[in-house]
This record gives sequence, C-alpha cells and structure tokens, in this order.
Amino acid sequence: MPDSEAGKQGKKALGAELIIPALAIGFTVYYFTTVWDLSWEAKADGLAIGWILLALIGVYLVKTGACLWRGEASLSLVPLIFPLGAQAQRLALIASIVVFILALPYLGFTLATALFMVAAMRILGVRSPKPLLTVSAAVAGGGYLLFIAFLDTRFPRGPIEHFLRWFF
Amino acid sequence: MGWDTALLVDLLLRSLGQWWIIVPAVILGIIVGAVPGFNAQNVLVILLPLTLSMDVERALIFMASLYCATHLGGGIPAILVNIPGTGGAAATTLDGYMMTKKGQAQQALVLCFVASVFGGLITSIAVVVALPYLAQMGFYLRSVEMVVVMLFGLTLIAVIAAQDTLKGLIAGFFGLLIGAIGTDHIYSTPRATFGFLELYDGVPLVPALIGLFAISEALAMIEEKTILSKEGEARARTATWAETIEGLQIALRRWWQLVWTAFIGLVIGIIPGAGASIAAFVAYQQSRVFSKTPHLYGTGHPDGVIAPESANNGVTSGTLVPLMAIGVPGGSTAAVMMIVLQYHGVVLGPRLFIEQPHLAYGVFVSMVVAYVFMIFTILPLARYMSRVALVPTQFLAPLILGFTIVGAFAPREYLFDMGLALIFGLLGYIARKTGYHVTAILIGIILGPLFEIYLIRALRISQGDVRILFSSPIGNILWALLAVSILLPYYRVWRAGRHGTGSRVGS
Repeated sequence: MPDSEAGKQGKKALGAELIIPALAIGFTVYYFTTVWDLSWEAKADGLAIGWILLALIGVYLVKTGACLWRGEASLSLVPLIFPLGAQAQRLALIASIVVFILALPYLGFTLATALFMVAAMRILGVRSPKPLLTVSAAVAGGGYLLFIAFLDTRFPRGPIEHFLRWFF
Repeated sequence: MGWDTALLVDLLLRSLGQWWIIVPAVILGIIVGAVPGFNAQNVLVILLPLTLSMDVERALIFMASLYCATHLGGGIPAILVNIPGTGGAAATTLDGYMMTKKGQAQQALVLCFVASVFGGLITSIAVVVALPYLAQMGFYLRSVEMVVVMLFGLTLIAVIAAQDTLKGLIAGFFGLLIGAIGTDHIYSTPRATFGFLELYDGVPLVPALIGLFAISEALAMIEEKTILSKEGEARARTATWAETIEGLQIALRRWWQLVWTAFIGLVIGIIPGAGASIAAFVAYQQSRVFSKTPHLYGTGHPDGVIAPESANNGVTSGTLVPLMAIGVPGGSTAAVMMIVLQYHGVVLGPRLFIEQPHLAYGVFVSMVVAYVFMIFTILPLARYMSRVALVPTQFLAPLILGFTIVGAFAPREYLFDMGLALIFGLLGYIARKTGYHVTAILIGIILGPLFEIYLIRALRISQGDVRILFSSPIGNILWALLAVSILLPYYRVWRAGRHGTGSRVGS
C-alpha cells in the first residue's frame, strides 16, 4: 500500500503525531505519583512543568480533534510506518543494537563491535565480504586503540582485549 | 593590576614557544570533541597523571588548548552527520546539517572553523583586557537572574521548532520533565527513576544526546542511499578549494554576527554552571530574532552556523574567568583545571593577579595562541572532511551506531547508559518522523536540572513567594528582553502582513 486512504483524500495523517503526547502524558502521570507526597521543594519544579505540559497537550488535542471533526485529518500512522522495506531493516538494526549491548560484557568491546558492524552492514544490504571485513575490523581496531589502549576506559574486556594486553 | 604591555608580549612569546605542547593538545582536542560521548573534562581527568607531572605553566597551556579545541571539534559531526560531538554543538546541527544536505558541507565546516576560532580569539583578547572587571559579573547574576536566563533557553523551544510552535513547546517541556528525573537537590528523594539507581543523579546528558541525535538519525537515514539531496550530491562531488575560499568569504562578510554572538558566549560562560549548550542556543535564538531573514534559519543559513559556534567558543574563556578571578570554576572542565592548579600550590582569586600575573593572564594568552594554531591546522582539512557526506548510508549508519553507542558508555562506564541511549534513540526517531524537534527535547533535558536548582534556590530565599522572580532590576531588564524576544517575530509577521507579504511565525 504505497499511499494510505487518508493520503489519497489529501487528509493530514495525525495518528503518529499523538504518540509523543501520549508518552508525555504517561510519563507526567508517573512523575506526579512519585512526587505527590514529597515536600514542596522536591516537587515544585516537576509539578509546575508537568501541569504546563498537560495544558499544552490539552490544547494540542483540542486542535487535533477540531481537524478530525472538520474531516481535514485522519488518525493514520502512515508517516511512521512507510516505507515498509526500510521498516524491516530498521527493526533488524534495533534488534542488533540490543544484542550488541547484551553481548558486550561476554564478548568484550572489540569483538562485539566488529560483529555488530558486520551485522548492521549486512542488514543494510552490504554483501561483499571485503568491505564487510575491512570496515568492521577498522572500526573495532580504531575503537580499541582510542578507547582502551589510549584513553584506558573500562570497556568490558573479552578474548581479544586479553590477547592484545600482551602487546599494549 | 593595571595594563602591562611588556608582560603580555612576554606571555605571547612564551606561549608561542610552547607550540610543541599546543599542537598535540589541539589535535587531540579536535578528535575528542568530534567523538560524541567524550569531552574535555573526561580527557583531562584521564590525562591527570600527565598534567600533574608537568610544570604548572605548561600544564595550564596544555589544558586550555585542549579545552578550546574540543569546542571546535564538536561542530564537525554536527555539520556532517547531524550528530553534535558535544552539547554545545547541538544548535549547529540546525543549519549546519541542512547546508551539508545541500552539498555545502565544505562551506559549513569553514564557517564553523572561522566562527569558532575568531569567536574564541576575540573573547580571549577581551578577557585579557578586562579580566578584573569581568570577574565582578558573577556577583551580579544570582538565582533570580539565572531563572530568567534559563527561561531565555526555554523560549528557544518555541522559536527553534517554529514549524509548529505548540509541538515545539510540548517537546521542550517533555524534555524539561525528563530533566527533572533523579533525586531532588534538598532532600535527595528519588523522583521518577523507574527504580533504577543509575538515574538517581538525573538523566545523563551524553546518552540522551547520542540517542536523540545519533541513533535516531542513523535509523532515519537508511531510507536514502546518501544523506545528500540529488543536487547536493552533484555539488559535493565536484567540490574544490574554491568552496573553502567561499566559506571564508561568507564568514568574514558576517564579522559583526560573529563578534556579538561570541560575546553572548563570553557572558554566559562567566556564569558558573551555564555552559556552552545554553550559550549556543541563546546565541542562535538571538541571532534569529534580530535577523533580517529569520525565515531562512533551519534551512541551511550561514548565520545559523556562525552564531552557535562563535558563542560556544566564547564560553571557553568565559568559564575560566571566575576560576582565575574568584576561585570558582565556571564549568566542569574548569573544575578539573582547578584541581591541577591547586595540586601545584596555586592560590586562585584576586591575589593571583598580583602574585602570579604570568599565570592569571598566561592562560588566556595561551588560548589566543591555541586558536591561531587551530585555524591553520583545521582549515585545509575542510575539503577532505566534507567527503564524509558522500559515504553511502549502508556504511554511514553502522559507523555512526558503532561509534556512538560505545560513546554512551564512556562518561559513566555503565552498560545501562547504552540501553538508555537506545531508548532515547527510539524516542528521537518517533519525534523526527512526527515533526517534534529532537533539539527541543534536548534543550529541555539540558536546562531541566539547572532550572530547578535556580528556581528552588530563589523560592527558598523568598519562602515560596514567586514575586521574588520580579524583585531584581537586572532580572526585570532580562524579563523585558525575554518578552521582546518572544514578541518580535509576531510583530514582524504582523508588519509583513500589513505590507502584503504575510508569512507564519518562523515558517
């Protein structure tokens, strides 16, 4: 479905635009529940900001409701969903980031970064092994030199770091 | 202490003689500034063993040069891939990245370099001339005035996201509330931490910055083959040295813009705690408000690159003013410098100007020299750096993700922060796709903790009476200027409407 029904009719697709206000409302309510019983110094700032935020969202919802009422807009999620092909790649990239973060303590910085780079480039359509290997090795190697060998940050160490410790 | 030409000439010659310290510090600073997640403070802490072992004068020159260079380096990824290397370069993305998309990356980089260097140079010279007087400024800006300065930042939210001011305000206040996560400043009671100990100190800025800008940008850019428009790609492929010269000419033609925004940075830098992020946004907004072409901001306008870059480098000398003059560091990097100076037995404060003038003034003179070295080091590289924009997104997106996600780990060394960066990345992606400006969310997160500190301090002084916010003459002048900043764009639209050339505010 390259174009939505709403798009064909020239309506503004406002459904996706309600996600941020919905998240903001949810977070504001949660914030209020955590500060409600605290002293005024601890809650004054959050309550003031939260009420202003809710008021702004209220105005926005009224504005959106008016657009829907006049038939100028729909609750379509088109801007967030299309193009579908890129969406599959995006979800796969997000999954690979999650796996990267979870695997980092076990594989160490260098190996995890190299594998993540290979996975991310494969997901985005790089098939030739030469760029896959050279780019991922360069990034992981450069990262090792900058972050671990030079700046000595405490990135999780794995087999490669333990091996390279003999040289650096 | 009065003006002493002989001392300043001597300091200048001594600083020039330290080129072998300044050049590596500048190169390291540019690299560090360009890598999101790293900043001068991190690196100076890491390099403490080195600086502590140096002679105090050399240590100070090294630290000041590195510090200045990080402010310049932060603008490079902001322009090339829409990812600010430091918080101070976040405002540079607004027009810098748009210039890159149009194939003008080389000019944008040159504008950034020239604005950074001359902004830093002018303010460093100004500080050398007026240091004892500037130091007094910190005494006049108290919590009430700071609340108004913070509100200046808040107005940016509406102005920057002017395609739809209401959505800009929602994004900004959402960011402010996220910035209010963590323990409160009086009783240390946790608020909205979702049960995570890692959030007790508040939302860390680096993962938020990396998520909102880098991860969301990488997730968004995969829909296209390159980040450039078709015309932009054609232009970028045929770019020559002439583009560097053109960028230089554009920057020099806008010298006045460069000067006054640098002084905004200097003044904000002097206020302890304010910093480059706020200075850059305030300068961007003020530049837009007083511009004859405000509608061009956000579309790749040179002034939109010059203003924030000039201001965030104006901050560098500003943050060192209270450190040298009254012994109060103006920012976290200045605090690290203070540790090194105290280790060497240097007593900071007014006596420093009498007892060790070569140190008090020497640091600013060395900044002047560092900026001079910087322009010659970095300007010839603009042409080659701009080639980054031609890299296909199937390589660029993984490179951005690989480098920046690990950057989220670096400041606090928590794996939690990498997950936090991903969450902010998803939030930023949704915001980008639905017209909520990620910059507005980031401004909110940056300003949130500072705003709370000053607001609560003012309210505690008045025992909860909000009229205290209108009790200071300086504060009231700032309120009036704030009102002018908000109303001026509407007045312009009204005036344009009367002349039959009507347009929306900010559109």
